[in-house]
Amino acid sequence: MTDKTTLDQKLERLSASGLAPGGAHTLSGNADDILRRILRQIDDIVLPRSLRLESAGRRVVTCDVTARRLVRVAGLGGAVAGVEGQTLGDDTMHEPLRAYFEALVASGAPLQATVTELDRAVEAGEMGVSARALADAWGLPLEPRALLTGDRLIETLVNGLGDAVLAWRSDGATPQSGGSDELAQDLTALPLGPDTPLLPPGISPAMTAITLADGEVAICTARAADTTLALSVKAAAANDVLRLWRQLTG
Amino acid sequence: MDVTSHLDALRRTHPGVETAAFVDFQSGTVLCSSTAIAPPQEFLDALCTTATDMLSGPAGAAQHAMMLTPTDAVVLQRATAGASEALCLVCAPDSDLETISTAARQTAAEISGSGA
Repeated sequence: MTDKTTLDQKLERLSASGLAPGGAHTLSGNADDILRRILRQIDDIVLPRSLRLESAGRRVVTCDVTARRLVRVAGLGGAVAGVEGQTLGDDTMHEPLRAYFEALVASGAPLQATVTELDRAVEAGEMGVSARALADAWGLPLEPRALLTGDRLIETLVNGLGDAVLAWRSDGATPQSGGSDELAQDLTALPLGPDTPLLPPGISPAMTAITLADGEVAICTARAADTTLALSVKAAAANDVLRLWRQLTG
Repeated sequence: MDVTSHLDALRRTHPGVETAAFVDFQSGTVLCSSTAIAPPQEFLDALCTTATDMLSGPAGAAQHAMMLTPTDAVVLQRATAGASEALCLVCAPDSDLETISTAARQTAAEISGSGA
Protein backbone atom coordinates (compact mmCIF):
# COMPACT_ATOMS: atom_id res chain seq x y z
CA MET A 1 0.00 0.00 0.00
CA THR A 2 1.35 3.41 -0.94
CA ASP A 3 0.31 6.37 1.15
CA LYS A 4 0.00 9.92 -0.09
CA THR A 5 3.30 10.98 1.44
CA THR A 6 5.11 8.48 -0.71
CA LEU A 7 3.15 9.65 -3.72
CA ASP A 8 4.11 13.22 -3.01
CA GLN A 9 7.75 12.21 -2.92
CA LYS A 10 7.34 10.37 -6.18
CA LEU A 11 5.68 13.38 -7.76
CA GLU A 12 8.52 15.60 -6.67
CA ARG A 13 11.01 13.15 -8.14
CA LEU A 14 9.10 13.24 -11.40
CA SER A 15 9.39 17.00 -11.33
CA ALA A 16 13.11 16.59 -11.77
CA SER A 17 13.33 19.47 -14.24
CA GLY A 18 13.75 21.99 -11.45
CA LEU A 19 10.04 22.40 -10.85
CA ALA A 20 9.99 21.16 -7.28
CA PRO A 21 9.78 24.00 -4.75
CA GLY A 22 13.21 25.53 -4.32
CA GLY A 23 14.41 24.39 -7.74
CA ALA A 24 16.27 27.16 -9.56
CA HIS A 25 17.48 27.28 -13.12
CA THR A 26 18.44 29.73 -15.85
CA LEU A 27 16.34 30.52 -18.91
CA SER A 28 18.44 31.83 -21.77
CA GLY A 29 18.35 32.39 -25.52
CA ASN A 30 16.67 35.04 -27.62
CA ALA A 31 13.46 36.67 -26.41
CA ASP A 32 11.21 34.09 -28.14
CA ASP A 33 13.28 31.23 -26.72
CA ILE A 34 12.89 32.62 -23.22
CA LEU A 35 9.15 33.19 -23.69
CA ARG A 36 8.77 29.61 -24.90
CA ARG A 37 10.75 28.32 -21.93
CA ILE A 38 8.59 30.31 -19.53
CA LEU A 39 5.52 28.71 -21.09
CA ARG A 40 7.16 25.30 -20.87
CA GLN A 41 7.79 25.92 -17.16
CA ILE A 42 4.16 26.86 -16.62
CA ASP A 43 3.02 23.84 -18.62
CA ASP A 44 5.01 21.54 -16.35
CA ILE A 45 3.64 22.91 -13.07
CA VAL A 46 0.61 20.94 -11.93
CA LEU A 47 0.35 21.54 -8.18
CA PRO A 48 -0.08 25.16 -7.04
CA ARG A 49 3.31 26.86 -7.27
CA SER A 50 4.78 30.29 -7.69
CA LEU A 51 7.27 30.71 -10.56
CA ARG A 52 9.65 33.57 -9.77
CA LEU A 53 11.49 35.07 -12.73
CA GLU A 54 14.39 37.43 -12.08
CA SER A 55 16.19 39.32 -14.82
CA ALA A 56 19.78 40.53 -14.77
CA GLY A 57 18.42 44.00 -14.08
CA ARG A 58 16.92 42.66 -10.85
CA ARG A 59 13.39 42.94 -12.18
CA VAL A 60 11.32 40.18 -10.63
CA VAL A 61 8.04 38.76 -11.89
CA THR A 62 6.03 36.29 -9.87
CA CYS A 63 3.70 33.95 -11.73
CA ASP A 64 1.05 32.05 -9.76
CA VAL A 65 0.48 28.74 -11.50
CA THR A 66 -1.70 25.73 -10.88
CA ALA A 67 -2.83 22.86 -13.06
CA ARG A 68 -0.59 24.12 -15.90
CA ARG A 69 -2.45 27.43 -15.92
CA LEU A 70 -1.11 30.90 -15.28
CA VAL A 71 -3.49 32.33 -12.74
CA ARG A 72 -1.92 35.69 -11.87
CA VAL A 73 1.25 37.74 -12.43
CA ALA A 74 2.85 40.52 -10.41
CA GLY A 75 6.10 42.40 -10.18
CA LEU A 76 6.59 44.83 -13.05
CA GLY A 77 4.32 47.30 -11.35
CA GLY A 78 2.22 48.59 -14.21
CA ALA A 79 4.78 48.31 -17.01
CA VAL A 80 1.91 46.87 -19.03
CA ALA A 81 -1.42 48.11 -17.75
CA GLY A 82 -4.31 45.81 -16.96
CA VAL A 83 -2.35 42.62 -16.35
CA GLU A 84 -1.26 42.61 -12.73
CA GLY A 85 -3.96 41.69 -10.27
CA GLN A 86 -6.20 40.42 -13.06
CA THR A 87 -7.47 36.91 -13.39
CA LEU A 88 -6.20 35.80 -16.73
CA GLY A 89 -8.83 33.45 -18.12
CA ASP A 90 -10.06 35.74 -20.87
CA ASP A 91 -8.77 35.48 -24.46
CA THR A 92 -8.29 39.25 -24.52
CA MET A 93 -5.43 38.80 -22.03
CA HIS A 94 -3.23 36.87 -24.48
CA GLU A 95 -1.62 39.91 -26.07
CA PRO A 96 -1.27 42.03 -22.91
CA LEU A 97 0.40 39.04 -21.27
CA ARG A 98 2.84 38.73 -24.15
CA ALA A 99 3.66 42.44 -23.85
CA TYR A 100 4.10 41.96 -20.11
CA PHE A 101 6.61 39.15 -20.47
CA GLU A 102 8.37 40.88 -23.37
CA ALA A 103 8.98 43.81 -21.03
CA LEU A 104 10.81 41.36 -18.79
CA VAL A 105 12.84 39.57 -21.46
CA ALA A 106 13.46 42.49 -23.86
CA SER A 107 17.14 42.76 -22.99
CA GLY A 108 17.76 39.19 -24.07
CA ALA A 109 19.65 38.59 -20.82
CA PRO A 110 19.07 35.23 -19.12
CA LEU A 111 16.39 34.93 -16.46
CA GLN A 112 16.83 33.15 -13.18
CA ALA A 113 13.72 31.04 -12.54
CA THR A 114 12.81 29.73 -9.09
CA VAL A 115 9.80 27.66 -8.10
CA THR A 116 8.33 28.15 -4.63
CA GLU A 117 5.23 27.08 -2.79
CA LEU A 118 2.26 29.28 -3.60
CA ASP A 119 1.57 31.42 -0.55
CA ARG A 120 -2.11 31.99 -1.24
CA ALA A 121 -5.09 29.83 -2.05
CA VAL A 122 -6.22 29.55 -5.65
CA GLU A 123 -9.95 30.16 -5.69
CA ALA A 124 -12.30 27.84 -7.52
CA GLY A 125 -13.19 30.55 -10.03
CA GLU A 126 -9.58 31.31 -10.90
CA MET A 127 -9.20 29.20 -14.00
CA GLY A 128 -6.37 31.31 -15.41
CA VAL A 129 -4.99 30.69 -18.87
CA SER A 130 -3.30 27.48 -19.96
CA ALA A 131 0.29 27.65 -21.12
CA ARG A 132 -0.74 25.90 -24.31
CA ALA A 133 -3.41 28.48 -25.09
CA LEU A 134 -0.81 31.21 -24.67
CA ALA A 135 1.69 29.28 -26.78
CA ASP A 136 -0.85 28.97 -29.58
CA ALA A 137 -1.86 32.63 -29.34
CA TRP A 138 1.77 33.76 -29.34
CA GLY A 139 2.82 31.50 -32.22
CA LEU A 140 5.31 29.68 -29.99
CA PRO A 141 4.09 26.07 -30.10
CA LEU A 142 5.16 23.76 -27.30
CA GLU A 143 6.32 20.21 -27.75
CA PRO A 144 3.91 17.49 -26.65
CA ARG A 145 3.93 17.00 -22.91
CA ALA A 146 5.99 13.98 -22.01
CA LEU A 147 5.64 13.73 -18.26
CA LEU A 148 1.89 13.63 -17.95
CA THR A 149 1.24 9.92 -18.02
CA GLY A 150 -2.05 8.52 -16.83
CA ASP A 151 -0.42 7.39 -13.60
CA ARG A 152 0.94 10.85 -12.96
CA LEU A 153 -2.36 12.57 -13.64
CA ILE A 154 -4.10 10.23 -11.23
CA GLU A 155 -1.44 10.78 -8.59
CA THR A 156 -1.73 14.51 -9.02
CA LEU A 157 -5.49 14.32 -8.59
CA VAL A 158 -5.20 12.29 -5.41
CA ASN A 159 -2.52 14.60 -4.04
CA GLY A 160 -4.47 17.68 -4.95
CA LEU A 161 -7.55 16.45 -3.12
CA GLY A 162 -5.56 15.83 0.05
CA ASP A 163 -7.57 14.81 3.08
CA ALA A 164 -10.85 14.94 1.15
CA VAL A 165 -9.98 11.46 -0.14
CA LEU A 166 -11.26 8.72 2.16
CA ALA A 167 -9.75 5.88 0.15
CA TRP A 168 -8.50 5.28 -3.36
CA ARG A 169 -7.26 2.59 -5.68
CA SER A 170 -5.78 2.85 -9.17
CA ASP A 171 -5.14 0.29 -11.84
CA GLY A 172 -2.54 1.15 -14.46
CA ALA A 173 1.15 0.77 -15.12
CA THR A 174 1.67 1.12 -11.36
CA PRO A 175 -1.38 -0.13 -9.39
CA GLN A 176 -1.61 1.78 -6.12
CA SER A 177 -4.01 2.37 -3.28
CA GLY A 178 -4.24 4.40 -0.10
CA GLY A 179 -6.43 5.99 2.53
CA SER A 180 -8.67 4.21 4.99
CA ASP A 181 -8.05 0.45 4.94
CA GLU A 182 -11.69 -0.31 5.62
CA LEU A 183 -13.01 1.87 2.81
CA ALA A 184 -10.22 0.77 0.47
CA GLN A 185 -11.57 -2.77 0.87
CA ASP A 186 -14.92 -1.55 -0.47
CA LEU A 187 -13.19 -0.11 -3.51
CA THR A 188 -11.53 -3.41 -4.34
CA ALA A 189 -14.97 -4.70 -5.29
CA LEU A 190 -15.25 -2.10 -8.04
CA PRO A 191 -14.19 -3.24 -11.50
CA LEU A 192 -11.43 -1.01 -12.86
CA GLY A 193 -9.43 -1.34 -16.08
CA PRO A 194 -10.38 -0.57 -19.66
CA ASP A 195 -13.79 -2.27 -19.56
CA THR A 196 -15.16 -0.82 -16.34
CA PRO A 197 -18.87 -0.04 -16.66
CA LEU A 198 -18.30 2.96 -14.39
CA LEU A 199 -16.74 4.99 -17.20
CA PRO A 200 -17.75 5.55 -20.81
CA PRO A 201 -15.90 2.98 -22.94
CA GLY A 202 -12.84 4.11 -24.83
CA ILE A 203 -12.98 7.75 -23.73
CA SER A 204 -10.07 9.46 -21.98
CA PRO A 205 -9.92 11.57 -19.97
CA ALA A 206 -13.22 10.76 -18.30
CA MET A 207 -14.57 10.94 -14.78
CA THR A 208 -17.74 9.97 -12.96
CA ALA A 209 -18.90 10.95 -9.49
CA ILE A 210 -21.65 8.83 -7.99
CA THR A 211 -23.37 9.89 -4.78
CA LEU A 212 -24.53 6.76 -3.01
CA ALA A 213 -28.06 6.40 -1.75
CA ASP A 214 -27.01 7.09 1.85
CA GLY A 215 -26.07 10.60 0.75
CA GLU A 216 -22.86 10.44 2.77
CA VAL A 217 -20.26 9.11 0.38
CA ALA A 218 -19.49 9.62 -3.29
CA ILE A 219 -17.55 7.14 -5.38
CA CYS A 220 -15.52 8.78 -8.14
CA THR A 221 -13.92 6.91 -10.98
CA ALA A 222 -11.56 8.32 -13.57
CA ARG A 223 -9.67 7.23 -16.65
CA ALA A 224 -6.49 8.88 -17.90
CA ALA A 225 -4.87 7.03 -20.78
CA ASP A 226 -4.37 3.44 -19.54
CA THR A 227 -4.88 4.23 -15.88
CA THR A 228 -8.22 3.98 -14.09
CA LEU A 229 -8.95 5.17 -10.58
CA ALA A 230 -11.65 4.68 -7.97
CA LEU A 231 -11.78 6.91 -4.95
CA SER A 232 -14.27 7.61 -2.21
CA VAL A 233 -14.89 11.06 -0.79
CA LYS A 234 -17.55 12.62 1.38
CA ALA A 235 -20.50 13.39 -0.85
CA ALA A 236 -20.09 17.11 -0.28
CA ALA A 237 -16.62 16.95 -1.84
CA ALA A 238 -17.74 15.38 -5.14
CA ASN A 239 -17.91 18.75 -6.88
CA ASP A 240 -14.38 19.56 -5.72
CA VAL A 241 -13.18 16.33 -7.32
CA LEU A 242 -14.79 17.22 -10.63
CA ARG A 243 -13.49 20.79 -10.43
CA LEU A 244 -9.90 19.66 -9.92
CA TRP A 245 -10.27 17.05 -12.65
CA ARG A 246 -11.41 19.76 -15.04
CA GLN A 247 -8.44 21.91 -14.11
CA LEU A 248 -6.02 19.06 -14.65
CA THR A 249 -7.46 17.86 -17.92
CA GLY A 250 -8.93 21.05 -19.35
CA MET B 1 -47.48 20.81 -15.79
CA ASP B 2 -46.62 17.60 -17.62
CA VAL B 3 -43.21 15.95 -17.70
CA THR B 4 -42.27 17.39 -21.09
CA SER B 5 -43.00 20.89 -19.85
CA HIS B 6 -40.73 20.30 -16.85
CA LEU B 7 -37.92 19.13 -19.14
CA ASP B 8 -38.44 22.03 -21.57
CA ALA B 9 -38.43 24.50 -18.69
CA LEU B 10 -35.20 23.08 -17.32
CA ARG B 11 -33.51 23.38 -20.72
CA ARG B 12 -34.79 26.93 -21.11
CA THR B 13 -33.44 27.95 -17.71
CA HIS B 14 -30.09 26.21 -18.22
CA PRO B 15 -28.94 26.68 -21.83
CA GLY B 16 -25.97 24.37 -21.22
CA VAL B 17 -28.40 21.44 -21.00
CA GLU B 18 -28.58 20.05 -24.53
CA THR B 19 -30.75 17.01 -23.83
CA ALA B 20 -33.09 16.31 -20.92
CA ALA B 21 -34.66 12.88 -20.69
CA PHE B 22 -36.80 11.12 -18.11
CA VAL B 23 -36.10 7.41 -18.23
CA ASP B 24 -36.99 4.15 -16.56
CA PHE B 25 -33.48 2.76 -16.37
CA GLN B 26 -34.60 -0.62 -15.06
CA SER B 27 -36.59 -1.35 -18.20
CA GLY B 28 -34.35 0.77 -20.43
CA THR B 29 -37.23 2.94 -21.56
CA VAL B 30 -37.07 6.63 -22.37
CA LEU B 31 -40.34 7.95 -20.96
CA CYS B 32 -39.95 11.49 -22.21
CA SER B 33 -37.27 13.74 -23.67
CA SER B 34 -36.57 17.32 -24.60
CA THR B 35 -33.80 18.25 -27.01
CA ALA B 36 -32.98 21.04 -29.44
CA ILE B 37 -32.41 18.50 -32.20
CA ALA B 38 -34.01 15.05 -32.01
CA PRO B 39 -31.19 12.60 -31.23
CA PRO B 40 -31.05 9.11 -32.72
CA GLN B 41 -32.71 6.41 -30.64
CA GLU B 42 -29.30 4.80 -30.07
CA PHE B 43 -28.21 7.93 -28.21
CA LEU B 44 -31.19 7.75 -25.86
CA ASP B 45 -30.69 4.00 -25.40
CA ALA B 46 -27.05 4.63 -24.46
CA LEU B 47 -28.21 7.25 -21.98
CA CYS B 48 -30.48 4.66 -20.35
CA THR B 49 -27.57 2.23 -20.11
CA THR B 50 -25.40 4.91 -18.54
CA ALA B 51 -28.14 5.64 -16.00
CA THR B 52 -28.31 1.94 -15.14
CA ASP B 53 -24.53 1.65 -14.74
CA MET B 54 -24.26 4.79 -12.65
CA LEU B 55 -27.36 4.57 -10.46
CA SER B 56 -27.61 0.83 -9.86
CA GLY B 57 -24.28 -0.49 -11.07
CA PRO B 58 -21.23 -1.87 -9.29
CA ALA B 59 -20.77 1.20 -7.09
CA GLY B 60 -24.12 0.43 -5.44
CA ALA B 61 -27.49 2.12 -5.33
CA ALA B 62 -27.02 5.79 -6.03
CA GLN B 63 -29.21 8.84 -5.98
CA HIS B 64 -27.16 11.14 -8.14
CA ALA B 65 -24.26 10.86 -10.56
CA MET B 66 -22.20 13.09 -12.81
CA MET B 67 -19.98 12.13 -15.72
CA LEU B 68 -17.38 14.28 -17.47
CA THR B 69 -15.79 13.57 -20.85
CA PRO B 70 -13.98 15.90 -23.25
CA THR B 71 -17.17 16.32 -25.30
CA ASP B 72 -19.98 16.44 -22.78
CA ALA B 73 -21.09 16.31 -19.18
CA VAL B 74 -23.95 14.15 -17.94
CA VAL B 75 -26.01 14.63 -14.79
CA LEU B 76 -28.23 11.78 -13.58
CA GLN B 77 -30.76 12.20 -10.80
CA ARG B 78 -32.92 9.38 -9.52
CA ALA B 79 -36.53 10.59 -9.24
CA THR B 80 -36.99 9.46 -5.65
CA ALA B 81 -35.13 7.11 -3.34
CA GLY B 82 -35.42 3.58 -4.68
CA ALA B 83 -37.27 4.60 -7.84
CA SER B 84 -36.20 3.21 -11.19
CA GLU B 85 -36.97 6.47 -12.96
CA ALA B 86 -34.28 9.07 -13.40
CA LEU B 87 -33.72 12.42 -14.95
CA CYS B 88 -30.80 12.41 -17.42
CA LEU B 89 -29.24 15.66 -18.56
CA VAL B 90 -26.60 15.85 -21.27
CA CYS B 91 -24.77 19.16 -21.06
CA ALA B 92 -21.92 21.07 -22.64
CA PRO B 93 -18.59 19.93 -21.16
CA ASP B 94 -17.92 23.28 -19.45
CA SER B 95 -21.35 23.49 -17.81
CA ASP B 96 -21.71 24.44 -14.16
CA LEU B 97 -22.54 20.97 -12.86
CA GLU B 98 -23.23 22.15 -9.33
CA THR B 99 -25.99 24.47 -10.51
CA ILE B 100 -27.37 21.96 -12.98
CA SER B 101 -27.36 19.22 -10.34
CA THR B 102 -29.41 21.44 -8.05
CA ALA B 103 -31.85 22.09 -10.88
CA ALA B 104 -31.98 18.36 -11.65
CA ARG B 105 -32.86 17.52 -8.05
CA GLN B 106 -35.59 20.14 -8.04
CA THR B 107 -37.03 19.07 -11.40
CA ALA B 108 -36.95 15.39 -10.46
CA ALA B 109 -38.82 16.19 -7.27
CA GLU B 110 -41.38 18.26 -9.17
CA ILE B 111 -41.89 15.51 -11.76
CA SER B 112 -42.34 12.92 -9.03
CA GLY B 113 -44.74 15.21 -7.25
CA SER B 114 -46.74 15.62 -10.43
CA GLY B 115 -47.25 11.88 -10.56
CA ALA B 116 -45.04 11.07 -13.52
